[in-house]
Amino acid sequence: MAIKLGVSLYSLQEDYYLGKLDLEGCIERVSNEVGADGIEFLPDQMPLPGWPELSKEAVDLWFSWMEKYNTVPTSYGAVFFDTMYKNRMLTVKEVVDLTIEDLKRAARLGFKVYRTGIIRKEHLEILERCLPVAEELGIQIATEIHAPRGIHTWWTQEWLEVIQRTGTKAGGFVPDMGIFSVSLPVPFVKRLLREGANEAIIARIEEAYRAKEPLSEEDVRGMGGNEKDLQALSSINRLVYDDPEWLREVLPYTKHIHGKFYEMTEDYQESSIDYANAIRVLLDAGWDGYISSEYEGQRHYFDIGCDTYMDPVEQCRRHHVMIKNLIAKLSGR
Amino acid sequence: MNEKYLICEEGLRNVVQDGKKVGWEFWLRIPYYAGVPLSMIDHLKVTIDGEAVPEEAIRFNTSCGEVFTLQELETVTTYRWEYGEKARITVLQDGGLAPGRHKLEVDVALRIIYMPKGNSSYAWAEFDVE
Repeated sequence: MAIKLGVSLYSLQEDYYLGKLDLEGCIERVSNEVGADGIEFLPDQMPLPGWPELSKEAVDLWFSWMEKYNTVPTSYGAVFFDTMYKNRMLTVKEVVDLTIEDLKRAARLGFKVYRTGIIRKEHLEILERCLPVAEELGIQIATEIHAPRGIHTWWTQEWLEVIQRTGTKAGGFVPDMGIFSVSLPVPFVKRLLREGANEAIIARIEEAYRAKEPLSEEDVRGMGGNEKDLQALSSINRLVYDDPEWLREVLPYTKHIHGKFYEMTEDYQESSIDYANAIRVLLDAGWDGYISSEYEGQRHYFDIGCDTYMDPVEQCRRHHVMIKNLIAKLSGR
Repeated sequence: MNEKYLICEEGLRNVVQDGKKVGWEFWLRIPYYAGVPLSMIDHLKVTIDGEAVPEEAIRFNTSCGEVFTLQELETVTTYRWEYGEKARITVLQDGGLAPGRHKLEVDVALRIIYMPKGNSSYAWAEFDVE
């Protein structure tokens, strides 16, 4: 029983987008430079050759990389394409059919967790109807607990009800560490400040958020806040700070966690998210699974070009150092 | 999203057929963090030097060499616009673009799970055309 570390290739997306890295290059850097073995893969972002067909050659290629770089498939990041047609949404059965095919691809690539997300009510029914196939394939359908939803919102609670009612072994969750946000993402604040927000006003918006006494638009305007300050306010209203103790309610159904982070400092701090308390609960519960680093800070520099370039590989490496330090400290080692 | 990088550095070029300029083209990356089936492109609006390009003049060239009008794209579910792919967009216009500097504006929307009615991204760039 242990916390293991991996990287979501999502973290490296900008370098892939600009053609600086290909899929193999991403895996290679995670293995050799971050020093992690868990690979979370988003096939629609960095597809294997011939995707969405999955040939034997593509499967062999995938496993040859896993062997070459001494890595393991952890979580397969999927989305529904229920908006495929302009004139109508796909029916529940159509999405079930597509999802079953996708589950089979994920299983063939060796994944044990199929990360998806519930956005609309019908997604609950879709996923429930896929559970028997997931059980046969030995893969867990895990919905992400991600802001603006949290552990105690309907998305999570109704899927928990499905899991408990059916007694399935194939349903679960991927909690995203972003649900323990204690402030706006640091690079987002830097971006707002570049664009003309007021530092003192943003500090007050964040203090009020932490005190769970959020400011109103009127409050911010009353302080002389501008449009950028109001953008900070509307963004912070979509953040979530769940009590890390609530994690215990979903951990029995959790094999994989998204280690969301926005910016690691040189001395291994991520000040936007309460990692210490979340890791404390995981250790105390004896949780066993992978935390995938999910770096999502680059996009706040991407808007101005990569003149400010945060190396995502170095960011993930620092993120792993932070988690290892917390584990050592909290377990008294 | 990715507005800074939607319009690719390849710029604007005239399309020459049988010695005649029959249109112009540019390259476009996807405004999303993943690839999608082409049918999920909700709209693609192109403006050149402040003038909107008629929708019927626009062609989307797939990576496998197929060419579709925007209306045809609505039914293309098997070919995709991949993340990071530089899709070649052709505009049919007799005579092409005059030599000199031109301002290109693009407004592209995808229907994705989070935004079933489409999310719009806007980008612009200026290029010299020979």
